[in-house]
Amino acid sequence: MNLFEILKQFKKVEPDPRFTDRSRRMILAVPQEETRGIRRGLPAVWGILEAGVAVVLAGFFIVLITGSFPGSSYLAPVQFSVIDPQGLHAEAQAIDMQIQLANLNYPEASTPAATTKMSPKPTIKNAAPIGASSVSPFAASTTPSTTDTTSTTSSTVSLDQALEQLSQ
Amino acid sequence: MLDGEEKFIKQAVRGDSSAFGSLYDHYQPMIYRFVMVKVGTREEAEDITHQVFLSAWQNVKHYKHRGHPFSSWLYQIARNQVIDHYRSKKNETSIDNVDPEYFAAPAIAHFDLSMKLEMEKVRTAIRQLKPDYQDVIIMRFIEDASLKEAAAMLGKTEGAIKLIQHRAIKELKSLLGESTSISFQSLEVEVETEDQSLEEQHTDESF
Amino acid sequence: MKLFKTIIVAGILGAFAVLVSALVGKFAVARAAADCTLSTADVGQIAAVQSDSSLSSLDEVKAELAIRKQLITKVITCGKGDADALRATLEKTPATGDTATMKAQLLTKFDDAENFYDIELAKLDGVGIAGSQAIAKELLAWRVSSYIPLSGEVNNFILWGSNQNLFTTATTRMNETNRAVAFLESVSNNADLESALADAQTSFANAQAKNAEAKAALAEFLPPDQSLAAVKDSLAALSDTYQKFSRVSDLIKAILPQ
Repeated sequence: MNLFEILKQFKKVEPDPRFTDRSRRMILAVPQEETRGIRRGLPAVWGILEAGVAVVLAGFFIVLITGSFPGSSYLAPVQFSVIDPQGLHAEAQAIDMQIQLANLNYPEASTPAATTKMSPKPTIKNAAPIGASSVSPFAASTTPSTTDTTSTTSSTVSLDQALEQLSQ
Repeated sequence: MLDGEEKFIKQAVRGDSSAFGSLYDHYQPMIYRFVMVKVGTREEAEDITHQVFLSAWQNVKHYKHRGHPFSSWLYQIARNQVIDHYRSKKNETSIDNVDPEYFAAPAIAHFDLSMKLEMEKVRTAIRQLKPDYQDVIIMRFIEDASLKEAAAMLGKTEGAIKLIQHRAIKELKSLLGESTSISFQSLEVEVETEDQSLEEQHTDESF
Repeated sequence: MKLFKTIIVAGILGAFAVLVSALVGKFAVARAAADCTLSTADVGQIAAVQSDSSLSSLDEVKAELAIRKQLITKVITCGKGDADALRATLEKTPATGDTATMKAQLLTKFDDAENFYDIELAKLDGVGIAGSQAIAKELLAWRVSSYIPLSGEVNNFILWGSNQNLFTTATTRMNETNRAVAFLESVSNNADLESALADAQTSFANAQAKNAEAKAALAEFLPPDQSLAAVKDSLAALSDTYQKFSRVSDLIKAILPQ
C-alpha cells in the first residue's frame, strides 16, 4: 500500500457525532463572561447581589405592611425560622456527614492517575459510589466500597494486581 | 477557510455563540484529526479537541486578526494543548502499543482491517517525528493544504514548509522502511521535485 | 386412589424441583458474587503448574495457557460487572441542563469501556502464553489510563450531584436570614448583626463559587483527584457558611424579645 494513499485515508476520519454534539453544546453553553476556571479563583458576586435585592424587598414590604414601627407585637407576622436551632443544626450536620463520607470513600490520592508504566492504581473493586440512593436533602450515602490495593487482604488480589501478574 | 469567515469571527469576538458555533462546525473535524494523529487514544483526542474549542470560545474576545487565518490560531491552541497533555501524561505505554479502542471508534469503523492496521503503523511512525514535522505531514498530506495554506496555518514561510516536509518524509520513510506493506512511490516523486527546488533554496529561512 | 396418589407424588416432586432450583439459583447468585473475588491462590496456580515436574512440557504449556485465559476472562467479566454497576448508579443520579450533558457524556464512555473489554476478550481465543501476557498488559495499561480515571470522574460527579440538595437548602437558609436581618435592622441598627450577616453572605458566596468551580472541574474532565479536591473544598466552604449562619441565629435570638 502506498504511504500517500494511507495518509489520504486519514482525511476520512471524523469525530464521533455524539461527542461533537455534546462538546459543542457544552462549550456554547458557557457564557463568555464566565472565563474563570478551576485555576482562577474569582468568587461569584451573584450571591451577594441576590442578598442585596432580598434586603431591599424585605424593607419595602416591611414599610408596606407596618407603616411605622410601634413595637414588638409587630414582629409576630415575620417568620424567624432562621433561629430554629434544631433545623440549623440538622442542616449543618448533614453537611458534616457528607464531608466525612467523602473523606472516607475518597481518601486523598497517594499516587497520581498514571505514574509508572505499569503500576496499578488503587483499585475500585466495586465502584458503588457515594450518594447512590440519595433522595433526601441530606444526601445520605449508602455503601461505599473503594478498595485500595493496599487494603486487600493477604488472600485476595485486586483486578489490577492480577493483571500485573498475568502480564509477566 | 469558511465562507464569510471574517463576519463570523467578528460576531464571535462580540460574544455571538451561534457565530462561534459555525466556526466550530467548520474547524472541529480538522482539529480533531490533527490531535488524533498526535495522541494515543480516541478519548484523549476528544478531550483535547474539546479543550481547544472551549479555550478558543473563552478567549475569542481577545482575538485580533494579525495576518494569519483563524485556523492558525486554533492549531496553535491545539499544539499547546497536546504539549500540555504530554507533559502531564506519565504513562509511557501508548506509543508502541496498538490501541484497540482506536479500532473500535466509530470514526474509523468503516475502514477494513488491513487499512486500519496500515493507518495505525503510519500513525505510530508520525508520532515519533518532531512536532513541526508532524504538523507539516498532517497539513500537507492529510488536510491537502497547499504550501501557501500550510505556511499560513503554521505561521511559517513556504520555504520552511518545503524543507520541513522534505525532512519529515525522509524520516517517515526510514521509520516505516522495514514495513514491506508500505511503498513510497508517489511520495518519492514529490520529494524528488522538492529536492530540486530545495537545492536552489536558501536554508536559512527561520522556522 | 391410584390417580390421587400419582397427583400427590407429582405435587411433592414438583415442589421439590422448585425448592432445588430456588436453592441452586441462590447458590448461583452467591457463586457469581464470590466469583469476582480473585485470590492469591487463583493466580498462584500458574506457578504451581510451572513447578509441577509430573507434567510434560507440552502439558505444562497447555495447562498454564488454560489458567491464564481463565483468569483473564474472569478479570474481564468482573471488570465489566464493576462498570455495569457504576453505570447503573450514574443512570440513577438526577441531572438537568448542562449536568445532564455531562452525565450523558460519562455514560457514553461506559460503551467504550464495554467495547474495549469485548475486543480484548475476543482476542484471547487464538493466542498463546505470550499473547495472553500482552493482552493482560494492554488491559492493565488501559485500566490505569482510561477506566480508573473514568470511574473517578463518575464517582466525583455523583458526589457533586448529591451535594446540590445541600446547596439548595443553604440558599433557602440564606434568603430567610437576609429577610430576618433586614427586618430587624429596620427596627434598630445592630452593628454586630450587620457584620455577622455580611460574613455569612461572603461565606455563602464563596461556597457557591467553589461549587461552581467543582462543576467546572467536572465539566472540563480534569484529573479525578483535582475535581474531587474541588468538590471537597465546596463542602468545606458550605460548612463554614453554616457556622456563620449559627452566629447570626445566636445574635437574632439575643435581640428578639423572649
